[in-house]
Amino acid sequence: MNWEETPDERDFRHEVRAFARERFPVGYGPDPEAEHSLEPEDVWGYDWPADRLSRDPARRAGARAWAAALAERGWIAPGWPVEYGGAGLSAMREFILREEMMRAGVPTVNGIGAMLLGPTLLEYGTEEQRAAHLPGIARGETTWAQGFSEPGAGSDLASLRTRAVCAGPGSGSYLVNGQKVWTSSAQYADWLFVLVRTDPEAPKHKGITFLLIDASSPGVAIRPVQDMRGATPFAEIFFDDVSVPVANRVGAENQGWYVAMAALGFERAGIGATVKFEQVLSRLVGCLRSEKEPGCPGRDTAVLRHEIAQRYIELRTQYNLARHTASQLEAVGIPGHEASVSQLFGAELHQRLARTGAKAFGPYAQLWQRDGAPMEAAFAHMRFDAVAATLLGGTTEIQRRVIATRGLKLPKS
Amino acid sequence: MVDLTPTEEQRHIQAAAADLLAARSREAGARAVRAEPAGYSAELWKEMTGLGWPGLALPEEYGGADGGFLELCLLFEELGRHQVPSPLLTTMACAALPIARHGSAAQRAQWLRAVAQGRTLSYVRAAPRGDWNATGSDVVAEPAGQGFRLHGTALFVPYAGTADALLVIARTGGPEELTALLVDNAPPGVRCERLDVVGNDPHYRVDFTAVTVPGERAVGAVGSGRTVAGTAAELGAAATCAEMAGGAQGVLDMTVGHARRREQFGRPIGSFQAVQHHCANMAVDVLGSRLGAYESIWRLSQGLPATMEVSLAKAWGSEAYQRVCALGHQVHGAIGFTYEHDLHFFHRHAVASALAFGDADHHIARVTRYLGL
Repeated sequence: MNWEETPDERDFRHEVRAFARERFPVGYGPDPEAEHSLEPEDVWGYDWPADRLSRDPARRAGARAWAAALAERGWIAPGWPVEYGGAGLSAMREFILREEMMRAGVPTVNGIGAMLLGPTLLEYGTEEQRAAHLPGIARGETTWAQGFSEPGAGSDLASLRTRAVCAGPGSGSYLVNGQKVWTSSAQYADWLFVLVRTDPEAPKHKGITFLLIDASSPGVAIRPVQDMRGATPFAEIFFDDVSVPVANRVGAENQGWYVAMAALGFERAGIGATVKFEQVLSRLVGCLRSEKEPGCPGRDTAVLRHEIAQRYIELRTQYNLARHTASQLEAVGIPGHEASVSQLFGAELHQRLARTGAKAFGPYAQLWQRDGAPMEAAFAHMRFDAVAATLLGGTTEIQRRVIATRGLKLPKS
Repeated sequence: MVDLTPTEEQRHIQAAAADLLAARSREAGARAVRAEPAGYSAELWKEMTGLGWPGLALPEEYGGADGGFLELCLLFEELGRHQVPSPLLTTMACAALPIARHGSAAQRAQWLRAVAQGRTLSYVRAAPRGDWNATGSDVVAEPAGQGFRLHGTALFVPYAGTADALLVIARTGGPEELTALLVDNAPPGVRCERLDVVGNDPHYRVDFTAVTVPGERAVGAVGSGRTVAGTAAELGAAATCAEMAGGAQGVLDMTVGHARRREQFGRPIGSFQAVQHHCANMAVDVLGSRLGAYESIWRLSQGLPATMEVSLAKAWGSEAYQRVCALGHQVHGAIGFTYEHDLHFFHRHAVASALAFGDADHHIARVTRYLGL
């Protein structure tokens, strides 16, 4: 057991810190209006996939310059092999990199492509697919969205109905029809990776295929979906006779379910949320301690102080769970069910923390406007962001089932 | 490299301890020793001493194995997992290791050697009403010749009935001036009366009546008792966290086993979503408390500041263990409510260890102060 970083790891941490300080583009600041991202790894005030296409030239240039700076080091896809544009970092270094990026308050670039699609192609893709797609992701030039969910499927993902049929014998392409929903940042994506049904007669897990689809293909329509906050972090996608080359199939036909499960198994280290929560809690503590901070009428009661200390203890527990996942990844290459423990705990902590924080401001906790609100209404917003925490990436009920059946080996229902 | 899992050697210690305790839990576990006057199996203690357990974390020069506090805590974890009551924690964490840190060369030579050979010690933190939030001591040490004369009463002293000596935190001046004294646990003047308590570890009320203690029995300088008590409390709390994590793991294992075997409506109850969710919640608490315990123990074993980490591990672990027991009972149903079933020994242990060395509220209050709130 070793809970302290080695000098090498500490040096790496300093290197990342210095890099973020020196290379983050001047002028690429947080957007006070941004309320797009629900991903725990994302930094408040930034939405990189949207910023990259922003109509504001300074924001657009900043987002692109930041991607280019990270790409130089292979830090968009830090765990990938160097030949595809990654940095070949170990799980623990990748953990340190993400932690320091969060601490520096700089946005993640190409998260879905780098963290989900990349490892999937490295494991199941053809050499042509890797060569065609990985370098673009690692350079921050092409962004991806994951089209798994469907309106009728939800947690029963395998019941998806989007159809793909071979256009004709020897045609070399599939014809895709159907609809996806809840696809994060789909409206900004260049490419989509989706699950489609190719054998309607087969048992539901066995008739699914994994396809890569160019978002600009004729017949693809993407429409943002507004959430309860008024933001549009995701979209629905309609496929109307979309032609997809067979060469864009990952894995064998009807084997897509297993490819997708592997993709979902490439769990994130999950450090982002912890740092984000820690930062906002530390602001809250500062706010309660300072009598002079304007616009910060905190309700400093013994009960509240006790509750904040509990949240702090839970945060440190969450940090341990996340570090433990990285440590396991480093030791055995795959995360165990403990990764689900970390995800589940973090999601519920998000909601507890939001309620505790909002409580500190009494009637001011209802201010949605950031201007003139204590702590720029951070907790008022967080309370609504957190509603999705126990749903996104699979509901916490599904996480519990994973822990029970895969981790504790309880019989499947 | 940061690596939060036990090393090969640590796993070896864990496995060896688990094997021994699994084999002996029938005759030396909480159920078996409930009627024993000592409250633990003297035979198993002999065996543990023969295997070098009390000496594991003591220096070689005193007959120890020069292992660390972390390795010692792996034993506590297994003792908790198998619910085997033992004076090891009290002896080591609350007396021997504080003597190793604060005692004179002569005290170390005498007492650490004795402990490595199987003598047991207990820790008398005579805070008013046994309250971990209280300062001061209900035992007063008056100057008498070259030494002291003790008067007073202490509550909730574990394993005091059989301990060879007691490390007593006594008042030597005003209410705040404390001194740690090593007192022979032999009448006259020392009276140990066993209390009827919820937990599995025997607890005593200890009365001191005009007990003469030579001056060289002071551990650390006269007046430095708060420091010694601080060490005992910190190591004791951390060791208890290991024991609680082990206990919680024991409850999870027992519950998952039951859920796989027990059938209702023609299916194992473990296939029901409601039961699966209870078990998953238990797994979250078990892993969270184990990692918290290890973090604080690792820091202590490295000599790093750990006050904060110990408090958060104890606050979190105390509550988590009780939640795990509650869900364990829920999954077991009525069978778990019987005396015949072992689950209640874990529940007893959870209640008692949550209170030992300060409950969750006590430690949350410390975290509050640490945060500057």
